[in-house]
Amino acid sequence: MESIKNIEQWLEAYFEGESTLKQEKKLRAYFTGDEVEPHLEKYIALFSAFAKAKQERYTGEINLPKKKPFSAIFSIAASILVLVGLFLFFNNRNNNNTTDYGTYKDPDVAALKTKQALFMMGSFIDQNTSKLNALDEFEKTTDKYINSNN
Amino acid sequence: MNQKDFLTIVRPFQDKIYRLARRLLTSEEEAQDATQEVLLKLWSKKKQMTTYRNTEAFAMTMTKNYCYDTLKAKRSSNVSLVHTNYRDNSFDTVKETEVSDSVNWVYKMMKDLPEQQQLILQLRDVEEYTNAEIAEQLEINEGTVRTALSRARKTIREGLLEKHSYGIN
Repeated sequence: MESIKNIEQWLEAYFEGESTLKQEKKLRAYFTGDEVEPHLEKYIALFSAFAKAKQERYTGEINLPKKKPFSAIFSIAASILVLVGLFLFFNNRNNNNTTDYGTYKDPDVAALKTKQALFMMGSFIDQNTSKLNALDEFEKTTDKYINSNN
Repeated sequence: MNQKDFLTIVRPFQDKIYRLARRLLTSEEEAQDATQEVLLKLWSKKKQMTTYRNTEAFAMTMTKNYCYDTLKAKRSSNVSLVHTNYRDNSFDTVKETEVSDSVNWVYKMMKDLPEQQQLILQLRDVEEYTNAEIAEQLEINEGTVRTALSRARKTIREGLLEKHSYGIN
């Protein structure tokens, strides 16, 4: 227990605004305790008021807006969708875009190659048309009969 | 920072916000609204929160400003301040019931103090902040805190002595 002299001294300092927090704590402890000197009883109310005020608690709820985190999730989902969409789109376009059929870039080379190809085709046609000469024989024989009938 | 982190940061001083608002405003409901408002404001500033040197001091400053604004709005709309009785639901000992009448008397006297003195008395004698912390929270200088503290305490002492000499206690 604090000596009564200390208490009185601290109380004086308290009203001058010069007591320390430690002294004030001891004052509160003294005045909310069981043994208070009769001549100091008038201060009980003051210090118990402070002690009691400190017991008050915030009993309400804390309502924070819930929209924010949700919209964040949604925007993340949306941006992922957009990315996937863009990826698929460009992927498809690239596949359709394969216009590379092995053409020649240089027009002279292209012309030469075309010529060669056409010659090749021409020689095939020559080969095949030579076989058609056999048909002449056939015509001769039919002519013989048709003309004779005429 | 998610809501859980925020609530963890706020938990140690949410009661202090409430009690400060409770001291200045008239009813429990108003004080609860004030607490909710201040925390909401703090939440909306959560991105800057880590840059504040002291979130608690910042929150107390916001509470002070909110209460001042509320009181100002009330005064301008000509609603008179009515003292509501403090509900006594925490202490039940015999001694407390004996004392509670004069405790309420102290609260009543506190309410009659100028706003700044109410705040300082609450922050110092209830929340046990240092004068330097109070000065930071209320955006005033330390000398002012000390003077106002002494004035507030003396005013209440006068009231107590007066009441005591009537022998009501």
